[in-house]
Amino acid sequence: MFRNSYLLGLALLISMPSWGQYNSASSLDKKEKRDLELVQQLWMNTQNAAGLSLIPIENGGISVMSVGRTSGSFNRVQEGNAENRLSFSSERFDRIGESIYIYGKFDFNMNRQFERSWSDVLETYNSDPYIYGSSIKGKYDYQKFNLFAKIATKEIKKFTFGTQINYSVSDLSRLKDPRSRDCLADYSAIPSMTYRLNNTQIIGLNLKYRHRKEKTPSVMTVQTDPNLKYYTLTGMENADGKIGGYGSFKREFVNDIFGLGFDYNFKSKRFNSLNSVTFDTEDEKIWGTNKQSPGEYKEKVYAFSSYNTYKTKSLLHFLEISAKVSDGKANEFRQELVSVTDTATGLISQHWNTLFTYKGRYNVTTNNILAHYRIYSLKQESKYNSYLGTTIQYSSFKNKYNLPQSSLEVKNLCGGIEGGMKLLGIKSHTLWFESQVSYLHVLDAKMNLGNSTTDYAKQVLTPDLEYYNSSCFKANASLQYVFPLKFKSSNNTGYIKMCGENIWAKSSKEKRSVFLSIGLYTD
Amino acid sequence: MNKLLSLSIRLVISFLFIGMASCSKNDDVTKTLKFDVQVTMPAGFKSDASYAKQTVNISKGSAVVYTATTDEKGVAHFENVIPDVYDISTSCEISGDDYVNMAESDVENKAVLITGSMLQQTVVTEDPISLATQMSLKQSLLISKIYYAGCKDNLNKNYTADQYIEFFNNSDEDIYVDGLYFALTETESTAAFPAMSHNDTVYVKQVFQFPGNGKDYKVAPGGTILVANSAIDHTASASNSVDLTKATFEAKDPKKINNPSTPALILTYTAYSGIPNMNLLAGGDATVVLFKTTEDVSKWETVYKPGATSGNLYKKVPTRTVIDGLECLKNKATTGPDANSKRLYNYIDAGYQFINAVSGYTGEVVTRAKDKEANGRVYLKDSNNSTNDFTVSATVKPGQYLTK
Repeated sequence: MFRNSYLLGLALLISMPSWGQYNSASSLDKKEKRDLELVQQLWMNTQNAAGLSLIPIENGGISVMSVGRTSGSFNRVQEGNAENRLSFSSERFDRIGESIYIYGKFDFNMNRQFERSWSDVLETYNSDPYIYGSSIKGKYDYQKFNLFAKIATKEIKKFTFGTQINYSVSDLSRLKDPRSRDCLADYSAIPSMTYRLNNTQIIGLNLKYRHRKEKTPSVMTVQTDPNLKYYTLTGMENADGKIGGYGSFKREFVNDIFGLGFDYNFKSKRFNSLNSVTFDTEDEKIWGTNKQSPGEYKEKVYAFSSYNTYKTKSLLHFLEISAKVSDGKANEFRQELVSVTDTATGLISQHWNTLFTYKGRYNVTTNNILAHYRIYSLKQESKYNSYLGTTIQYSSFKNKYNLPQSSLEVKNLCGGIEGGMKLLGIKSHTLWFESQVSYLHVLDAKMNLGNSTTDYAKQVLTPDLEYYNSSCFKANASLQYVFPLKFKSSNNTGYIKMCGENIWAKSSKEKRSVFLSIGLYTD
Repeated sequence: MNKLLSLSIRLVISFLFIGMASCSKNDDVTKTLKFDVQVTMPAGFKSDASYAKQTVNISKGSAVVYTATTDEKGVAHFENVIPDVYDISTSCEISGDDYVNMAESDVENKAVLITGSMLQQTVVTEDPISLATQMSLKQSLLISKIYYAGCKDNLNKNYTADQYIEFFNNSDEDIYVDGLYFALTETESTAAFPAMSHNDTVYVKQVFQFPGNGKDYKVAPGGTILVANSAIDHTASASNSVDLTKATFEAKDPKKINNPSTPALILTYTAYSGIPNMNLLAGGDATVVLFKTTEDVSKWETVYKPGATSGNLYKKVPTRTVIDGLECLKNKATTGPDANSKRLYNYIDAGYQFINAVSGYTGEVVTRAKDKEANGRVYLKDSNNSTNDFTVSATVKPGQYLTK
């Protein structure tokens, strides 16, 4: 934990020189200007990097360091009951010469979760069912480094070209016996292009390749409890717990994702609309010791999004409508270890032979539809005083295990309002207040288990159903103090932001979060 | 240009609809099965003798998940079976009178066991399955318990000094164990001599003989014989362990703590010169055979594992001499027990057992289950299939038996 604090400090220091590199005549409205630029740069919401140059954002960046804590009783078992968070991010828009537009971002997250159990992997929910973990609650440390970049050319004979690249590495370590360490390398490249049909219409195309490899090379213990079990899961309540099962356990998930996206942009003087559809297909292989495999997981993701802005002299309207559907299927394998002894040398070679494949043993479907509207009250071209917004979201998921059949299905409808306003604006100092309240209504949460007596059913699925069944009210509020910051000869803008959030669930459970961030806008 | 725009929009809409439509496609899933198991009678029975009105079990690990009763033709009908890799087994006891009536030729009027077993069968089609059976004489003296897991001592260290094996007189007559042998099979990490390729011989690493001159060590009906590596009260060192001061025999090791008042087993053969007591591996495999012979065991052939010209020499025990056997496999972390590594052929033990722990030290005992209680004593299950006859318990004590 402390070693990583040093790394974080080092990253902060590396980012510091940029403070003095850019001069700005007016640095005081950087927050408002950057906020409005981002709202109007609709292509940033898509995976088409080539659109970056179509609505240029002024050179500049922001670095943020944040600490926070979330705790409470309104949790799922595999999430733990509290989490301390420390994060640092630094992002920047830039331009190389007249032709190349760049956006780059670096993220570092360091979290510690408490009282988490039953999952030693990074993706627990609505994904590959072949996860694993211990039933004993413990602390988990999580770290993630993420590098993200978009690069685009300026318009060349009606075309722009671009690429989005992402590289992240993560590490999830369990700090209690049996101790696992799960590592992830995840990288993707998305080349893209746009083509201007006429003065008002642009179409875009992008292709995605993403490779994701998550690996638990071993699980260790430092104590000698002989009855310590380690569980491997295969979907819903089906979890096989073996005493000492952590010995020689190893597993890795190797996932190749291919995707395709189309974009259509209509832009007039006041109205800008960007509509995208994407399709991703993923094929995940799961490997254990000697290439043993419990199964494979395939998923298809369909998404549609529409981002729209309408700008008048005093108002900026923003409307987002998006829908995402995913359909995952796990095929389970039955394998036998085949040992072949060379009678001449006595050497033994072994391999795993797949005897049988359960097609569609486990299915995951998710649906998400979102509508989000926000209106900004503009003071000038690049300033605003306040905003108001509303969100409505429908989400659902279904996990289904076949033979014997078990299922968990949840449907939610969430509605909320949001608002933000400048409370004070004295000389170069501003104070912003933002708040959001929402209510999540559970439309349906039902579970049908083939065997409700397994350890996983009793200790995870049944308590989690109470979580899924709880409608909840969420409110958060933040205060952000923005102030000028002189560094050598440059004028920069810094801020301090405090945020608090509380969730009150119908089941009398609640969860609260507090965050403190410091940030720096640079030219 | 408008054409291009129109084409693009059409493409997008088509793409969305094709995508959504494929979401609901869910036909390509595995379905349950309906099939028959035809049980065939062993050789030596009349052609009209059928395996009627007997139970056929389909098991997964140590749990029976499906059962069906055979019809007049010896066919068991199964429905709604989830495709998987299963053990299929059956057994029945035929009284001496029935055996005489059903046998092709003149036979001795003695109760016999008919057992059939197919281990780790991949059941994925509805094709009928043929289950062959074997016959064996019902034995009086049985291997009834093996404790190889060991436990943790009071300092939380691994403790295996308390390992033991128990034998049980399941008959209604006194038995003398004098001169009988029991042996531990080879425990190479990959089975050197799996039963599937060596069905007339059991390859063992150690052979022990009960002492006595024929009438010295009597086991009364329902009585037990306990052989220990160290016949002391182990609860002093490991509170979860057992008191073995009343063990009948001890496999003495001069380097370990022995009980001078407990008679010694005779070590007839050991593949390891430095290990004179029972070499039971805490995590398994731990397979035992009980056998009887008047031959000179020391003259039986010893062999290296296939391909080796040095290392451990294993003694070949002919299966014709075996009275009883118990197959205990290692519970592997990844896959559980591997039935392909069984060392005992089906007519000795048609099933197998394993403890829950991968490495042992959990105090788990593999123990034969109670069949019934009558005449003031216990009778234990004996179907020549340890999957059905045995259970695993961490609380059962020497001389005590549980209901499965």
